[in-house]
Amino acid sequence: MNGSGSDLEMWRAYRAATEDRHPPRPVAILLAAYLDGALDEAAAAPVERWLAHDPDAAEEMAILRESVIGLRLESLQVESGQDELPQDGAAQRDVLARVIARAQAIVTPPGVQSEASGTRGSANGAGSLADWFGDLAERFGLHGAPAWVATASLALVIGGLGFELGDNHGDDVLSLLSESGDAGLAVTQASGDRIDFGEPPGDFL
Amino acid sequence: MEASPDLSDLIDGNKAAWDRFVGEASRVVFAAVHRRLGPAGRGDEAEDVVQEVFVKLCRNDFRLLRDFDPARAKLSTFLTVIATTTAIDHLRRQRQGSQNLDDLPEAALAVQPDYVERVKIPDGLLSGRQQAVMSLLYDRDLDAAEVAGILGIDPQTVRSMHHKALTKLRAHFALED
Repeated sequence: MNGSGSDLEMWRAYRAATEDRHPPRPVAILLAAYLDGALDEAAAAPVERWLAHDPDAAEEMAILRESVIGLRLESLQVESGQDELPQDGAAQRDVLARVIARAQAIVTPPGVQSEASGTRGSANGAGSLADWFGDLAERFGLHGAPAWVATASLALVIGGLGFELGDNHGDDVLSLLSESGDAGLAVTQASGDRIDFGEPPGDFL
Repeated sequence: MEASPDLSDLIDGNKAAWDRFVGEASRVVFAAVHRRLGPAGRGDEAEDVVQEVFVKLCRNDFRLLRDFDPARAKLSTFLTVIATTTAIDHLRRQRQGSQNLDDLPEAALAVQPDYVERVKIPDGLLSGRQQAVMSLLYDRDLDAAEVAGILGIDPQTVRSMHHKALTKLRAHFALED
């Protein structure tokens, strides 16, 4: 045990008198600066208060330090040209490719509702017909409601063109439009019916 | 990763900048998440947790990335912190969700007796770092080398801080008596 019994009692008395009940984990930038050794004692105080009073903090800090050390070692390996994925490298590369594709899809071009900001991009998968219409509207500098009107008009024109091509061909075009369900496009069949393009997509999550 | 990347385009919602950032950051984020989940036998959940990290970075108009300051920390460290704490929280949520109270040891459920009389302590008697040293030595029962590892300081500094903290406490409690 560290110190004498009386030292322990003194520390416990101090702690009881000053206990900051489970101070929250410091924000990421503060923890990162602390781990990079960029904080003086005064600036480090919130981190060290967390360490002093949160029973899980010491373990978390040890894990964070280990993580940062691992990061530095991997950087050194990459710089020295070593294979940073020595074991099962191909499988890891496949995983990374999947991870990248998924994360990139979180943000899409402006003009569509997004989970991230509420104003940009959506988490719809890339390549849907709705995305194509959205991109086309954006190219003409249209965003928000005008983009939707332009999208709807264009779809109507294409739909109408489909009818002109003949019964079967028109049906094919309308089927194509109705498949773009993830942007809320819904097309009702039959001549004379109003085409309902549904609501703009909501937040992804 | 770039030492001081320009995130301003990304924060403005530039899709190409976001894609570039993801391409560069994914390795660091995935490695940090997998480093935590793998040893816990949950490596197969790493992809979902990585996605959670990137969603977190986008949330509230890229608020976390707006908070990043290259003058204070490296971007790779910043991302490692976010990825590691997300993985820690993920494991904690899973553990809390599935834990049966009957399986917990008695000590985890015990209420600590209030045997310590509350005394008056002046503000700033011990510095934050001294408190951290004392807590890690006495509450976690770590040795000086282990404490030094956690705080990123020298073991001798730990011993010196321990000594100074005890001197202050003894002086205070001697006055109290």
